[in-house]
Amino acid sequence: MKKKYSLPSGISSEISSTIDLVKNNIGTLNYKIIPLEVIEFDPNNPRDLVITREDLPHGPRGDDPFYEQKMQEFESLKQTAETIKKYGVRNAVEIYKFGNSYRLIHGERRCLSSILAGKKDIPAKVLDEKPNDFDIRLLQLIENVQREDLTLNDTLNNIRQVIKEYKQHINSSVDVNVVFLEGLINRSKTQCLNFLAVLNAPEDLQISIKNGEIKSLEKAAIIAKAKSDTQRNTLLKSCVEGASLNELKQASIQQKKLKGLSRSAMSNQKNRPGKKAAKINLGSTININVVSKLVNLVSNDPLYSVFKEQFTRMSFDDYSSCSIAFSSLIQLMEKIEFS
Amino acid sequence: MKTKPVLGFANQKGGVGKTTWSKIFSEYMALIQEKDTLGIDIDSQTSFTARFFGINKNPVTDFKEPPIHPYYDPNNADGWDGRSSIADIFFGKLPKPYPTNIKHLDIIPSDEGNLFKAENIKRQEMAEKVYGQLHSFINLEDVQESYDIFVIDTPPAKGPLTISAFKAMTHLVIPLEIELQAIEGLAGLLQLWKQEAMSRPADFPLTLIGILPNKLHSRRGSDKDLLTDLRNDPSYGNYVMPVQMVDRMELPLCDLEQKSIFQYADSNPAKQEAVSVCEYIYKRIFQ
Repeated sequence: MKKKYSLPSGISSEISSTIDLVKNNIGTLNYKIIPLEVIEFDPNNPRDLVITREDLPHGPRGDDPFYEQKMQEFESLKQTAETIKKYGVRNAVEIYKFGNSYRLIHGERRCLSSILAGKKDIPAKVLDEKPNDFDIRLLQLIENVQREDLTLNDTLNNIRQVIKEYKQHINSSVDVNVVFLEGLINRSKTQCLNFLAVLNAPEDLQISIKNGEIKSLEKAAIIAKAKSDTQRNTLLKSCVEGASLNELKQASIQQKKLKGLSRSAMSNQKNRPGKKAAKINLGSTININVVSKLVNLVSNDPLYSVFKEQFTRMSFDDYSSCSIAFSSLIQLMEKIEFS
Repeated sequence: MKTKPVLGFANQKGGVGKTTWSKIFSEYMALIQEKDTLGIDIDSQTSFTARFFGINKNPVTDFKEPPIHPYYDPNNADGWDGRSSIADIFFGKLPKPYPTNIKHLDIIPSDEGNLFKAENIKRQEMAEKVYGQLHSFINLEDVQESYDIFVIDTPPAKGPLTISAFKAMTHLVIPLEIELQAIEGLAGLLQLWKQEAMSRPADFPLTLIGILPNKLHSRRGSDKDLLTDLRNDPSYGNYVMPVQMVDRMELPLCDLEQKSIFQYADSNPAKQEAVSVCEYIYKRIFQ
């Protein structure tokens, strides 16, 4: 018997998409509240944080060889701890089961700050299995790249490592371009363009970044994009001397303008495409004396002595009469030169 | 220790058969399979409780409350008022299961007033005080050792009590009347299942046993056509259970007489359908 009724397609597709989503994503939102004491830090995490859990209760010890760096990190963690006291940990850390405890994939800073804030546990995304070494490393590196409290040098080093790991384990011949980088580190296109420029920059810029003389990615990218060694050196010098981002941008624009001028001069010497020049443009001036001087010079030439009287009748009172006088001069000279 | 099965009957729409099937399946497990079964009524309407113990109203508050516990001894009460309900878990107390007149079947009743209070706990405290409590209670060692299976009747809503039930469940059945509005509501409930199933670790999955076509009208053409559409859908058709229950008068009669459908003759069509549905669910859980 023929069917009279059927399900509206909208309802059917909504049910279908929900069920498909669940079938393909079981466990992907497995977030739990985990006691901090059962979370171990990963000794292989590539981040170079030197402060440890043991330093937290009383702060770093004065005789610690890394005292200064630890103190900086301690102060930074205390600031995050204040936020955690007020609002809790907003983004879950990521862990995997490791024997009777858990091992951290990323979120060391959040864990330490939570301990400082007096918290006993932390929200965590729990993976059932240990991801393979490459996945862990890549996750840690990508997480580190996304942190905002790293130095430019640390961030660049992390990106270099992400690319290196990717090339070693996934695709050795990958073209490291902006599209690849966007997909890999999940940053905006502009940032990826800047990162690429700086990663490929000459050694002098890399050294300044490493020494901490340049801390801003945007500034470093402007310098890296300079067209010549001289231009880069100038920009680098003014950046190290404290030029603001805006000043650096202006200097770079100025360089491009100058470059444009010199290119235009160079191009006059070359055969330009298009219609071949059939006459000479003698240019223009706003100085009447220049015209008067030229006319006098020519009239004193013995070859033009026959026109001496004509020259004396020429008026140089205003631009219009000057132009007429100069045109007449050109006409007379052409007559003589071609006769 | 592996968690014992926790089966929930859920649908945000009322009157689709959640309570009826919570009762039928609890009875099936206790009477037919002889498994120690704990039925849990987390719906403040207290219908599941009423099927076993009748309606008990507090004369002062007018809220439906649990009956006096059969083991209550006023001379040795230690401050206990003799009533226990599933609402206790939200207020730091352990509920005391009530025996029923069916061997192997205990029930933890509902409590309208206290469940209402639990639902109105401040939002920021909800996660801590409500969502995980039923799961924690069911997973207490004593509770796990006392029962083979837990059956939860849920409220017709997507509120905190339903979320608490979802967080405790290992298996889910969605009773559904085959009519358009009910099917539209199904999408909403599946969102709740989605959220919970995607949040589970691999060793504690939430399995959707299926959508149970219920209260079918054999002479209504739309029921047959829509059910065919649901079952034939290539994406979710296998989630629509191959068994079903027709809208039969024996089921309300069972409630009125406080009788089990399994006490009817084997030739009774309602009993036959109940057995086939329960066998299907049982196999999906235990095999």
